[in-house]
Amino acid sequence: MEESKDKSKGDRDPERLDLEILAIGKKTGLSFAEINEFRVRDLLSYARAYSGKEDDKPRPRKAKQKDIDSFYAN
Amino acid sequence: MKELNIGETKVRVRATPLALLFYKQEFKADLLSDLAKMEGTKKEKPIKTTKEVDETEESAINIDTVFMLQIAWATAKADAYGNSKSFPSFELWLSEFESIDFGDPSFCAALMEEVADGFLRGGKQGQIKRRQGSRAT
Repeated sequence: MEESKDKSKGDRDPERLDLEILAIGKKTGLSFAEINEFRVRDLLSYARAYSGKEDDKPRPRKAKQKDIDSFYAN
Repeated sequence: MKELNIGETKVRVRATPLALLFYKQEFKADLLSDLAKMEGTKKEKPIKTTKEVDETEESAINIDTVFMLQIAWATAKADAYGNSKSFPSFELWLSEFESIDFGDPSFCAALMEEVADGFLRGGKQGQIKRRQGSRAT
């Protein structure tokens, strides 16, 4: 149990900042060629802006009784 | 992106996130940690005011030339990323140059400017401000 915990910790090497930065770029949907066009700080700013915009996206609203009634009526 | 003169050859370098990966893959070390270590050894030297620091003296005494060439290689490889021609290993790349003038301060200055601009928060301006701040204390 303890060993598996250590192993999972070892998988995520905190010293691999290079991979962390590339992963951030990939999460925003960029290719390696596109990531290579960015400076490190610009990529981080881009990722921050990208994730911020994601939060602003309109999300599906919670269904009300009226919506449920109209759904079953059809 | 910057263009460096290494001997007679012009080398394009670009400090991008991929350069960090290329450096780690080739030299099994973290570029930013090595950069911090170099900054650390600079801080151990006697503190001088900005006017007292001669740029030539700084580049000749405090800068590890092999480290500078390693950064140049990683950033040059990043600039060449996407080209159909494969990029040579560090040793092969070095052998392409007939001569390297380490006394040329423009090489180190241009490379460090690109590194500060690409990798460090706040770029060159931020680095200058941080240095001035540490000297003031």
